[in-house]
Amino acid sequence: MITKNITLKLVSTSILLIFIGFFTMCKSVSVKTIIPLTAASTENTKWADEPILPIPSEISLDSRKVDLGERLFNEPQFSHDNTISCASCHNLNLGGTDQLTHSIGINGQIGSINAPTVFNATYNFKQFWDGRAETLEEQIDGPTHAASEMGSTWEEITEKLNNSPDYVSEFAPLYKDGINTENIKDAIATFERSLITPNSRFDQYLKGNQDILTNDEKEGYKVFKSVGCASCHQGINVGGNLFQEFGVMGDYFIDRGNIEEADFGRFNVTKKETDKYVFKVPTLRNIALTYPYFHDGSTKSLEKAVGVMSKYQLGRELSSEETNSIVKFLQSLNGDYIKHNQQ
Amino acid sequence: MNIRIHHILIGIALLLLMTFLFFKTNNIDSDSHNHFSNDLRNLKEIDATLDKYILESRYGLLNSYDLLIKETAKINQLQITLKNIPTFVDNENQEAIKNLLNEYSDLQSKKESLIERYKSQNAIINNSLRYFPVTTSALLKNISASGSSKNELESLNFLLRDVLQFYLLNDKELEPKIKNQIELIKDFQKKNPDFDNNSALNISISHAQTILRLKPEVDRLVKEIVSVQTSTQIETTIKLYDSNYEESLSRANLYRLFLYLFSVILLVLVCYIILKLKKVSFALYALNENLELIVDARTVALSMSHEELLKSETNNRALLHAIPDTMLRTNEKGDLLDYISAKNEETVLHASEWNGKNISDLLPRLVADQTIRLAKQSFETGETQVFEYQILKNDKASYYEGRVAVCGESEFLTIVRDVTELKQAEAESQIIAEVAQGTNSTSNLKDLLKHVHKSVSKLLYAENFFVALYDAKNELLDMQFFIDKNDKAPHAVKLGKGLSSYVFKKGKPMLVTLADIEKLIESGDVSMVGTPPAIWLGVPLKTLEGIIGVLVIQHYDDKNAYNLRDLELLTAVGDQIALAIERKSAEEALKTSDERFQSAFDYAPIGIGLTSPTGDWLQVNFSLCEIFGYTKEELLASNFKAITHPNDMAQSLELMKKLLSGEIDTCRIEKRYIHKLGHNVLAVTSISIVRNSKNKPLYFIAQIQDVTEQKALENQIQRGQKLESIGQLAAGIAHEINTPTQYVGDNTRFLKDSFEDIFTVLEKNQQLLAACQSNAITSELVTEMATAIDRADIEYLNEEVPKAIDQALHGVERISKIVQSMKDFAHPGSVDKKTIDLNKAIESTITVASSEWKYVADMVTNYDPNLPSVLCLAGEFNQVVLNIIINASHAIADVVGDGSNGKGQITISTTKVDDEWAEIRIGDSGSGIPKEAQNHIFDPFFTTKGVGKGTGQGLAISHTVIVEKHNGRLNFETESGKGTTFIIQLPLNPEPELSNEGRTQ
Repeated sequence: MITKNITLKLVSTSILLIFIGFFTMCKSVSVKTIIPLTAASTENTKWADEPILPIPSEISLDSRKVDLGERLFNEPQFSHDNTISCASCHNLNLGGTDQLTHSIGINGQIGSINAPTVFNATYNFKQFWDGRAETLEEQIDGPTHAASEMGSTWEEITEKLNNSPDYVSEFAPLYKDGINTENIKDAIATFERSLITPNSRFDQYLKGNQDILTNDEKEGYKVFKSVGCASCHQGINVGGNLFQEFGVMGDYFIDRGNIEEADFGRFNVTKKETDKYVFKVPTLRNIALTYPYFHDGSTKSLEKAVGVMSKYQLGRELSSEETNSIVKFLQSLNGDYIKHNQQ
Repeated sequence: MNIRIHHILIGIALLLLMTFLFFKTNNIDSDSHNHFSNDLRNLKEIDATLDKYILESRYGLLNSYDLLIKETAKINQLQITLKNIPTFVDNENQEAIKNLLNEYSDLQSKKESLIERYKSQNAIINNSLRYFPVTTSALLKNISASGSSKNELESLNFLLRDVLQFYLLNDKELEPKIKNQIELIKDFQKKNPDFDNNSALNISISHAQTILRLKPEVDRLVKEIVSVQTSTQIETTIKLYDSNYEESLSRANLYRLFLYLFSVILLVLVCYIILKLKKVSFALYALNENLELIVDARTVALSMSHEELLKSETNNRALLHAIPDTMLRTNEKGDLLDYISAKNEETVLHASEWNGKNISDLLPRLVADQTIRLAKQSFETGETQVFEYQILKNDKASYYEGRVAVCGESEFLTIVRDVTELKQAEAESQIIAEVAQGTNSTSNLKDLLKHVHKSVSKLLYAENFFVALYDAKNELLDMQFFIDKNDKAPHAVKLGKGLSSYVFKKGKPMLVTLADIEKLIESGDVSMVGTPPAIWLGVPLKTLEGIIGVLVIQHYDDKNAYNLRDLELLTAVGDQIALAIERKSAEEALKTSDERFQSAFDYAPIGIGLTSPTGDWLQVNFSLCEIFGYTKEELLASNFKAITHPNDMAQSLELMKKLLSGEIDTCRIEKRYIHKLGHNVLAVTSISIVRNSKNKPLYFIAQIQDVTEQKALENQIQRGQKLESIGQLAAGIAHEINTPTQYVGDNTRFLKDSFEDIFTVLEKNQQLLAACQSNAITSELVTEMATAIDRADIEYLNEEVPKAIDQALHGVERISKIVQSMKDFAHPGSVDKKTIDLNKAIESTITVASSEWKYVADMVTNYDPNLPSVLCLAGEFNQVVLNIIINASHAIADVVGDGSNGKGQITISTTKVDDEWAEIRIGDSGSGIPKEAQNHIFDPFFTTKGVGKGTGQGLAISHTVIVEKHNGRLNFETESGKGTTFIIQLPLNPEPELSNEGRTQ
């Protein structure tokens, strides 16, 4: 009798198991999960009809990586002779630039182009004046390797960092594979993404605070739009999202003279004739701090820069009232940089 | 061995096959599929979105290029993730998809560069488009102001028009024309290098040229961007991927099917093997059992034959041994020839020692002699001789029966049997029978115990005998029966240290000699009471409930007077005696309680009487006599009808009939009797009928309670409550009357003033009339007349006076309505029932109570117009309605406060439920009656209102009025938080009353 019971149990259990198995299999075949496409949300906000959008006041990043990136950003070991760090030319206290016509690299070499600001670089659609880097990470290769800038290689940099127990222990918890090119770039790029300057008076104005701007500044914004500056300088970064020929309505370079390779701009990247003298339209955020202006750093005065722009880009002469009011407006674009972990 | 290895190999192969199938079925990683497929579809959608944004920006619908950038970035991101093609796609197709995606990437980068170009050019043309008309019109104004060169002005004008037209209408034919105009202007400039507006003209022309140049370019760029085949490329990829997925899916499903089929086959195989194994094991089991049976059968057969052999050998001896008695074969002198000792008997001789012994060695001398004597006698008569004797062993007397018979020449067989138990059982049953008989034949406990003593003394020495019973209430051991040579019956004693107490406490029988007693005294367990006996025997008297007492016999001289057998005997009998005593005691107790009951009956504060089925008084108690004023003898000689009030007679007889017929078992009636002195006695009478076992009525039991005074008191309270509610209302009613009174007064005063004005006019009128008649009309008179009419404002009065009169009359009507309602409500002097219109009665009660409810609630009434008039006590009915309305108002006020934030609602409706009942529902929107109060609301003096707001009499009286006085029903429905509805139901055709108050319940 006992054996009979056991065999009965065995048989029934195995039948049950097989059926359960079969049904679960059937189930897994028939279920097709489709992740719904995320509908593009069009935000109907106060500034929706304005060409310029405000910078968000908060950004979500891994603050440990931001901290590490900040250290690396200030690390002179990135340069061959350990004298130059990123911050040397992108001084956060000087509007993210060095306020020099051309930056100074290792051994006192003078660079060929004006250093653009690192602030809000994350909002640029491409990096460098000629847009040769698609991402912030890619951009890092440029200055570190340029002989006239840092003059180093990744092998050299990783080796130096690996020799520092501090860096080794700082990378370890954040990156499984420790210090390598990719991770260094990731940390620096993460830090650079934290370098945004929200809360400028103009952004506050966009967000609805009508009283934050003076009438002159408001008038300046109106002129800025009406004379055509906003055709190129628009979007969240007031520029930084398209290329444009320098000298559309007049030949800037002939007028300036002394044409160098750097003046060819995007042509150096694409080798297309149409891309000659074409540059990434730079951001106008914090423009009052990022002088001297243009890729050649040819003018320190904002008024003069506005004049150059109106002449060669807009093909018109602005009155001094118009220029002054545009300058007043531009000065309202200075934002606040707040360290990521203190945001 | 080989077979086993084979089996293992096959098992492993099957397992491998199964694993292979299983992995094949799990080939599709649904996660990566979902991601890839979603990414592809997202890519397609983003591509479309990008095209849309391009077009939007071209037509100036986008203010910035951020959206274009965002979408492009998304596409680039997706291109990276799409490099992970799910692994279930075979290599060839992987390659194909990769190629498609690479082609797509190329297309996309082409598209991107077009977009970049488009953005730049679009910015420029937008700028020129904006500025060209502005600068050109400014120029035109300037030139026309200077008043020179009409031609240039004209061509500039045309230029402006044509450029705009060119841009807007996309008219290519205008292009040469525009160029021509530009040439004209340039020619003009060459000819007039000093022209003031040359630089402005240059700007204008350069913008015109820009538009001319960029318009077709931008259009071309947009067209190219949109026509880059990215979306077709994605679609092709999606198609290829989907078909691959479907294929893999169907392949996986096929493997699943295989796996399933394979599993089923395996299962069937396993079942088959198990069944086969089972079959074999069953066969083995059956075989085994069969073998065992055969072995068993053989073993049994073997042992049986062996036993038979033994049996036949010892048959005779066994037969002898089987006889339980002691057997002695002797010669005539008593010398033992053979000896078989009795079972269970300790014998003097061991079985092997009997040889050569004489019977006198075995038995006591006397018995041995008697045996020999009887043997001789038996030899002479040839009959078996029987004798009995007793031997004392270990303080126990044993009885034996000896039989002597002749067995051969000068040989005798003596059979000795122990008959002790038989003897004892006889004695026991004799005593038990006697005690049982005594229980019936004796009339009380004393006699019973006497009888018991007699029975016991027939068997045992019982000159000194007593029975003590335990009185649990007083914790006394009481001698119920006592006979003694030396001592006198002691008084009842507390359970102490006497021997009896000792036995009682231990609950075990005890046989003790003086020596034993002394030992017990020494050890402190007992103390001596009375004369010390030589031997003392006491047994506890046990019943099922416990020990009720002790029975003791004792002997003062012979310490061998009792033995252990006697103890056993008395113990056995003791239980019977105990039972008998208990029964006797119960009988006596019953007798006592009967007597007690009789006195309870006699002296009960409530009148109780028994009557025969015809109503003759059989038994009455003192209270009953007192209620009716008759003596007991007088009542017993009469019938209940003689003292029943004639008006209540019919009802009483009706009830009696119902009781006798068995329709009801009991009833309660409030009826009037006539006191011996002639006045009425109102009494609540409960009657029940008692029947014998054959259901024949034996007598009625009537409980009669005089409620005359109580009734009077109730009426008084009710009147008091009415006064109380009227008092409560008085202030409200005063206010009610005051308001109309006030505006009656106001209006009358206005009429008085008006009349004075009119009177002035009348006076003037009379003067004028007089002047008319005397033909002495002066213009002054006419003017005066006009002034008087003006001053009195006759028009106004004409309008207002009738209104004032109406208002005053309305006020008066209102007052008289209130007063009438008061009158209706109070119904002064209506003691008897009258038919009244319930609707009207309720309406007047609502009016009277209006000051109570109108500030907190709206009154909604819904009267049934078909409600017939109802016979009732109008005043009391009104008061019930009033009580309920007031309660409703209070309940609502508890919820809504002073009514300033919205009022509650009181709903009153009347309906004719059927031909027998009218129903009045009074509902409120209060908070409901709390559950714990629901059972008490009709109790007198129960109130939930604060001190001073109610006496708790309202609903109690309402209940009395509706239920008792109108045969109606008063119920309520309540829901916590929603309100309470009281439901009054009144009979439409009340039974003709026997009296105003008598009711059965």
